[in-house]
Amino acid sequence: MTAMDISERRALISGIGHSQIGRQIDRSGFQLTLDAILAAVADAGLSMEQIDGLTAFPPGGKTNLPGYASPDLSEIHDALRLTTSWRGGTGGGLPFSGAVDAVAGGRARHVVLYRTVKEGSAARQAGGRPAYGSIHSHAEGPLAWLLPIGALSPVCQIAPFAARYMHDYGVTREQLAWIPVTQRAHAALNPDAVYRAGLTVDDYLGSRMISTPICLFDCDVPVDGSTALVISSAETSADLRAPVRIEAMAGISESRPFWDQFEDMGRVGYASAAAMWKRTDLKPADVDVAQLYDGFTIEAVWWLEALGFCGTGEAGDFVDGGRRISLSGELPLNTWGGQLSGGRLHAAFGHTAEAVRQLRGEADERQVAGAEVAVVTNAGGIEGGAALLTR
Amino acid sequence: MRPVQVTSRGRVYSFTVNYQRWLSDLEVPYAIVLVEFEDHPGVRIAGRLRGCPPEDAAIGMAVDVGFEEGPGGYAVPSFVAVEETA
Repeated sequence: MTAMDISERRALISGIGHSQIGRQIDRSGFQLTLDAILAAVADAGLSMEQIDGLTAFPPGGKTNLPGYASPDLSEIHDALRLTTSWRGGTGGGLPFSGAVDAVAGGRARHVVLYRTVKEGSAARQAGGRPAYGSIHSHAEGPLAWLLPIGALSPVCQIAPFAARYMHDYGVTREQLAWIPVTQRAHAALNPDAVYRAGLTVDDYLGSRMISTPICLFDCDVPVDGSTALVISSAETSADLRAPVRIEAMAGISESRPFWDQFEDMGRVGYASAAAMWKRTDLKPADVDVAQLYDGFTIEAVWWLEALGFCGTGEAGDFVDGGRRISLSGELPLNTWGGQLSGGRLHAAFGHTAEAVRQLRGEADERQVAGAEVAVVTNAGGIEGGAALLTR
Repeated sequence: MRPVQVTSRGRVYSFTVNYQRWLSDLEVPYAIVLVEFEDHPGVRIAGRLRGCPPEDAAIGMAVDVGFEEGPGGYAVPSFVAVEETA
């Protein structure tokens, strides 16, 4: 490696924890968040007095969808009676990049971050997955360009990317079906996953279209639940139960940061992937398990190609039949079920937690034998990021 | 900074046909198209497609600029399918 300072190696992922996860859970976002944080801090082998940093995703403010916002940082800070030397800031494409910068830069030793969703309950209250703007009295900002034309959901925004990708490279729904189908088989081995019953390619092809070419089983599942992570300074490793190393991470906002203006909708995530590989000597062939963001099936497709597990336009062939991405394949994909079957824990929190479990050898029935290197990604090209984690 | 008028024929860069009834009074299906213009590189506008069944939307199809009346006296951007002779 060159003289480049790989500052993320001064940070460790030391703890993971989650609340109960389900379609609807009769606990507030506040309660779910505290459940997840208490579990994560204990998992790290730490006590709450040792936590000196706190952050959440999203960082706060208005959101476009009910049930999406995590509880306010000050509420959680107060409930845990913390004294912090660093607060806030997720940034950089991955939810934990701000926390990594904080511990790598000496601002804090142990940072807790959380992502809490109540989108399952919100969907039930709305009688279906809510439309954009349903919590606003009028459209303003970017919503003013979306609502009048009927782009009422993230599905409508991601669908033209999928259409363009499939058009440019001749990739079919019959091929891409193997991502949700294989992930469902993984979810069957995860007691915390929300959908565990078998799913077939025929089920997928027969499911209703939401917004072409995206069908029901291409969409992640809105849930109630909270996930917490603890990011610790590498100097504290002796105090930690089972920390995981961050070999490299990068988050590049490429092209124009709007759903309708992204320059090449068939090629997404390449800048983040390239920036990540520049920070390590490891290669795609060294990766034992992949936890790739799957808010929609197509997002996992982009990452498979952008990270170099197959060539551009080749992901359809790569996933066809499901063998390569199964637990015994060359690149087990989203071994917890992903957001498509595990639930929309969002912002790669579920993906990161599973990567940590796999590297520790704590993934029970779905353990990938001898997993030493895991890749985790978040979102897509507009605000995406990728990280390589090692034992 | 000032606005530039675009009146030329456009081509569909990508699209989606929405079937989900996100609102109780929403009429479905409808096509949303992202349109580019040969004379104005770098300009891409999203709008509804009309003048053909939504299922006929396709990448590369020609469209003319059009507007529809919207609520509150506003005009909603939309595009009109153009019949091209081979």
